[in-house]
Amino acid sequence: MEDTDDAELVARVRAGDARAADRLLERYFRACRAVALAVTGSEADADDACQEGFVQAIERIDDCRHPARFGGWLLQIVRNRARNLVRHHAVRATEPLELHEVAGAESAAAEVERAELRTLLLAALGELPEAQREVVLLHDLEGWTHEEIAVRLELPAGTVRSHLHHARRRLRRSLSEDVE
Amino acid sequence: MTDQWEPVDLSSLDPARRSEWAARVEATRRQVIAALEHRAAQGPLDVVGAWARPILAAAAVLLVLLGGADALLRGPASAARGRLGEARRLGLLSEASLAHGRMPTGAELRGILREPAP
Repeated sequence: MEDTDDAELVARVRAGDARAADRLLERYFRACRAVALAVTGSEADADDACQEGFVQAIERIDDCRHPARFGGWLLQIVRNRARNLVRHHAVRATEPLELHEVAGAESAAAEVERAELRTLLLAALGELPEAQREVVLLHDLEGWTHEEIAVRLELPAGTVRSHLHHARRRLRRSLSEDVE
Repeated sequence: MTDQWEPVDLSSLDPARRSEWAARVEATRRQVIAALEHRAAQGPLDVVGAWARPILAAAAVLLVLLGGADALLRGPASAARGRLGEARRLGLLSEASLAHGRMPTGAELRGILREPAP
């Protein structure tokens, strides 16, 4: 756990230390994106929400009343930002993934295949309750431990395990139905 | 709870696989630096101003509430006019008493307080 460090980093950010802010960015930005994706179901909106939420958190760093719990505070800001985006871009949230997002060095066929897989995964995730989506993305995509999720989302450890269990089960069932 | 369900491979949702992600992180980093520079550029007056604005707003609200409470406790405007008349008549009585070198009598005072408002 890095909560003591969080408090120290927050104090340094308050003093204007950009490197400390960068450390927080490295530590939490992907988690911000996972939480935003759990809310929006859209990768484009999740990217916007995590960027706007993170910058907003730094701008309002003096409002963080418990610097040791910076992570949970930040994720709540991102969650709120993502919910606002969903309200404002409800139509966009249901659009299929844009193929140009995956443009890169890979072949067009591989791009299409991965875009299809992402669409299937997002659809399957969309069938889960938001709390289960957050937990499964933080654990299985971002590699957070049960304990880290419990502390940072302020959930009992048993609830985290339960969310993860149900999320995995439902994802497996949804994806196997899609394959059939 | 033991989890017999193996994790689903979510790696295709990894943002780092998308070409835009590095640019997104860099754009966020730049915005964060700009936000910190903006904080650093704020002078003491900005800090005081940030605290003063909500305090002044709260004071204005308190003033309005106190004014309303005062008006309610004092009663309607006609009652206020009545008290003003009493004060004026008491003033006149005091002036007359001083001119004659005597104290006002109880009957005179009662008369002033019973007299209806003009």
